[in-house]
Amino acid sequence: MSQPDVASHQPLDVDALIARIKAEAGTDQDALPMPALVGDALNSAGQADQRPASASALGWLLSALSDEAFLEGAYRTLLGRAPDAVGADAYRRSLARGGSRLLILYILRYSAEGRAWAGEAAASRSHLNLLRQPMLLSRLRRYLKRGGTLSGLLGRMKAVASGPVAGGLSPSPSPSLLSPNSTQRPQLKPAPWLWLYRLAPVKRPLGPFLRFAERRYLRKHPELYAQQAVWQSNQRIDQQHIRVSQVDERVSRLKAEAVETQTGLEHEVQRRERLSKDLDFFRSDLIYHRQQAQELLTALRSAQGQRTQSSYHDQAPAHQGPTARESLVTEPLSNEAIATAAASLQAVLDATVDDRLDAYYVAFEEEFRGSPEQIRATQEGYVADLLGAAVVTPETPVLDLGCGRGEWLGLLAESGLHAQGVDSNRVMVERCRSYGLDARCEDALSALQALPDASLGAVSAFHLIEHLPFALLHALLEQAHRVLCPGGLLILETPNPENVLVGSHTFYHDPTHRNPMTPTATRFLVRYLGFADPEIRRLHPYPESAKVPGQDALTERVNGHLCGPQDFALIARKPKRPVAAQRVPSSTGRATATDATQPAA
Amino acid sequence: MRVLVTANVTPFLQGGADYHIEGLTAALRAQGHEVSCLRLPFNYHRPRDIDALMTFCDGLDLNQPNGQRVDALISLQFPTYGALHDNHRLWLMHQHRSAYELFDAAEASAEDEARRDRIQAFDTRVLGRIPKRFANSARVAERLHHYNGLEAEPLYHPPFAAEQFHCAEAEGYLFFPSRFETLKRQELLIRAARHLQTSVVFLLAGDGGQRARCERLIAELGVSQRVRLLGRVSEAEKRAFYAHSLGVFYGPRDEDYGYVTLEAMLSSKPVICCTDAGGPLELVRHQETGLVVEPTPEAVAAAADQLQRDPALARALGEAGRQRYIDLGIAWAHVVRRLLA
Repeated sequence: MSQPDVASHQPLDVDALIARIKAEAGTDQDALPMPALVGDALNSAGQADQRPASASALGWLLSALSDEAFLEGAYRTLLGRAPDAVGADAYRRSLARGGSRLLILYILRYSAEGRAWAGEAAASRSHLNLLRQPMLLSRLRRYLKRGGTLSGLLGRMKAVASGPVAGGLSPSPSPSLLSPNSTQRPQLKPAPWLWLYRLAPVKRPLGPFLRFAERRYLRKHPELYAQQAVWQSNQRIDQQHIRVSQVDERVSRLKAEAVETQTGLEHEVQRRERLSKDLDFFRSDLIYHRQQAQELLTALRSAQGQRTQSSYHDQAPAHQGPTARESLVTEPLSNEAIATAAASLQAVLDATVDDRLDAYYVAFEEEFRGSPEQIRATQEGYVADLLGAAVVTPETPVLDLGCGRGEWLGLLAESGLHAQGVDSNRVMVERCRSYGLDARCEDALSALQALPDASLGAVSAFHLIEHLPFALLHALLEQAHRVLCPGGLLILETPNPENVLVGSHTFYHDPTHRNPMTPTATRFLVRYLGFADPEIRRLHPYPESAKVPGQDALTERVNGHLCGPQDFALIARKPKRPVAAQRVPSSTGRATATDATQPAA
Repeated sequence: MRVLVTANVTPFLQGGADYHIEGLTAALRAQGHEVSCLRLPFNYHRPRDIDALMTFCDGLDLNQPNGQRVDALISLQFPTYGALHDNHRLWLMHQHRSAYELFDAAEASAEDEARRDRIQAFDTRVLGRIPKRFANSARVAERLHHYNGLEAEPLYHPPFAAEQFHCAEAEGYLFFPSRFETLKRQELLIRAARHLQTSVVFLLAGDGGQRARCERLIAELGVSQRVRLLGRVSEAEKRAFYAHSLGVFYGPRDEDYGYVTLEAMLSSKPVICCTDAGGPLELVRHQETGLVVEPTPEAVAAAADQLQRDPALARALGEAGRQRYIDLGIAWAHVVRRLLA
C-alpha cells in the first residue's frame, strides 16, 4: 500500500463487521415464501414509499443526484407523501438559484405537517430526528475541525450533489430561501442573523432564538415590516393551495383504489364461480360413491343375514351336514369379518354425509310432509295406544326410527313417555336436539342391533319403511321384534298406494323413496316375523270437497281410489309368549335366529 | 384467460430459473388468469436425452390437450418452445448455451458438432414460427439475433423480494454474491486483492463447485485479510451485506441477465463489472451507475480503490443505479401486460 487510505484511517476489523451485519440481518424480516409480485411495489402507485430505511437516510438525500430526486425523497421522508406541485415548484426554483438543501430539509421537518407526521409514529420514524443524525453531525464536526465554514460545507454538498464536478463553492444561499414560495418574498438584503439558519438543522434549540432575532431585525427596519406582512399572507394563500392540491391528490388516490377494489372483486367473483363448479363436481362424485357404498352395505347385511340363518340351520336339523352349509354360504368369510366390513362401510357413509342434501330434505319435509299440527293430530292416537298398552317405562322406552323433525318425540315427551330417536340426517338430528329431545345421528339397523333383547316398550317408524330396500326392512323388523319386550308395540306409518294418485304420483315427490309398501304386504311381513294382532289404520283421506259428488257404486269406487286415505298405519304387538305357530314356514324352511334365541316360556 | 407456461425442471433443485418461472405464474394468477405449468425434465449431462426431448417437443400440439382449451402458451426454455399453439408467446430465458456461445470447439467431437448444428437448426426453425418473441434481457435477444437471425423484445423482471432491498451506511467492502462457478469468475476478484492500494476488502457470498479452489487461491496469494468467503447466507443477510457495502462486484462473463446487478441497484450501490459481462452491461453504465473495467485483476483493483477513496462518487453512482431501476419500470405486472398483449 504505497498510498495512504483517504477515506478510512483505521483498518477494518473484517470479522467484527461480518458479525455485525449478520446480526443486523437477523432482525430483518426474511422474504415471504411466495415470490408473488415482488418488486412491483417500487414501480406501482407512483413509486410509492421509497422512505429510506436507515439512519443515514437524510445524508443519502442530501447527496441525491438531481434536485427532483432530492425533493421527492425529502417530501417522502419528512412528510410521508409526494411533493405537491406548488411547494415543489417553489423549492425547485430556490434550489436552482443555489439554495440550500439542508435548509429545505429543516423547513419541511419543522413545518406543522412535518412535525405531525414525525410525531404520529415517533418510534418508527426516529431517523427523522435531525438532532440524532450521527452521520450529519460527524460529517459536520470533521469538516469544521479541518477549518471549513458552514456555507462552504453547504456549497460542497451541493456540488457533490449536482454532478461529478468536484469541489467549488456554490453561490451563497439567498434569504429568499426561507420561504417555500420564494418568488413572492420581498428582496431583502441578507439579514445578519440569517447564517444562524444554517446551524438550525444541527442545533434545533436555536429555533426560538432565530425567531427572536428575526423579530428584532424587522423592528429595526420598519420599512420591511409591511413587505413581510404581505409575504406572510401570500404564504398563507399558498398553503391553502397546497391543502387543496393535497385533497385533490387524495381524491385521485381513492379513485385509483376504488378501481383496484373493483378489479379485485371481479377476480373474486370469477374465483368463486370456479370453486363452486369444482364443488358441484365433488358433490356428484360423493353422491355416486355413497350410493355404491349403500348398495354394498345392503348386500353385506343380507349376506350376514344368510350366514346367521345358515348357522342356525347348521345347529338345528341334524341331517344337514357341512356340505349343505357350504352350498348356502359361498363366501368363506366369518360373520365377524362381514360385520367389521359392514361397520367400516357404515363409518365411511357416516363420514361422507352430504349436509347439503340433508338440508334439502329438511326443506322438502317442510313442504310435503304436512304441518306439525296435522301430524300431531294423527299421532295423538298412537299415544293413546301406548298408554293403553302400558309398556313404556324408563327402562323400556320408545325408540323412534327416522325421527325426522321430532314431532313424535316431542309429543311423547309431553305425554310423559320416555323416548329416543335416531335419524341418519344430521340436520334433522340437530334440530331435534335443539328442542331438547333425545336424538342421535345413527343408522336405524345399527341402533337396533346395539340394543339388548326385550329392552324397548315400542318401536315406531313414521314414513321410513318406503325408503328401505326390502332386505334391510326385513332385518330391521326382525331386530325390532328381538328388542321389544313382550307386549311391546310396533308402529309403522307409510304412504298408502291403495290411493292411485299416491301410488302413481305423490309417492315420487320424495327422491329418497324406493317403493311403496301395500297394507297387505306390510301386514303379512310383520305377522311373518312374529308380531301379533296387526291392525291397519287408513289415514288422511282427501277432504270431502275434493271428492266427486254422488253415492253410486262407480262414484264410490272412483272416490275410493283417487281420493281415499293417503297414508296407512300398522300397529302390531310382540306377543307376551313366543308364538311359533304364526310363522308361515317358507319353502326352504328357514327361520330366524331371533326366534331361535327367544327363551322358551 | 387460461395460460399454459412451459419450462424445464430439475426436481428438488431450486435456482434462479425456478424463481423466474414461479414469479411468472404467480403474476399471471394475480392478474386473474388460470395458469398451468408444463415442466419437462432436461438432462443436460446426457446428450441423447437432449435429442429425445427436442423430438418430443417439436410440434407437440398444446391447443387443446385432452380437450382442455388453452388460450395462450408462454414458452420459457429450450426445447419446450418447440410446442405448437395458435397463440404462442416466447419469453426466452436462454437457449441451450452449450450449443452456442459456450460451445467448446477445441474439445468437441464430431458428434458434438453435429448435435450443436441440430440444436441451432431446431431453434431457428421452431423459434421462427412463434410470432411474439420476448427475451429475458437484451443480451439474450442479441444472441438470438446473432446465431439464429431472429428478433425478440427484451423484457425485464424484478428479482425476488425486490422491495426489501435497502441502503445503509457504507462500510469499506465490496460485496460479490454468486454461485462459485468458473463462469462467475470469483477468481478475478481474489486475484485483484493483491493489487489493492486502499484498505478495501472483498466479501464473497455463496457456495458451489469452485469454492474450494477459491479458498486455496486465497491462501496461496496470502490475501486472507482482504478476501473473505461467507459461504451461504440467508436472504436477509444477503440484503444486509448489500445495504452496508461500498459497492458490488459482479464478475461473470457473458451473463444472460444477472439478478446481482438489479439487487445492487435496488440497494443504491454502484456495480463494478467487466467489459465482457453481457447482460449486466445493459444496466451498468461506466461512471453513471457503476464502473465497467477490463477483466483483469489490476483493473478491478483500481476500480475498487476508486470507490474506497471517493465514497461520494460511490454513493452518487449507487443512487443513480436505483433511479435507473425505477426508470426502467421493471415490474411483474408490466411483464404480464407485455407478454399477453
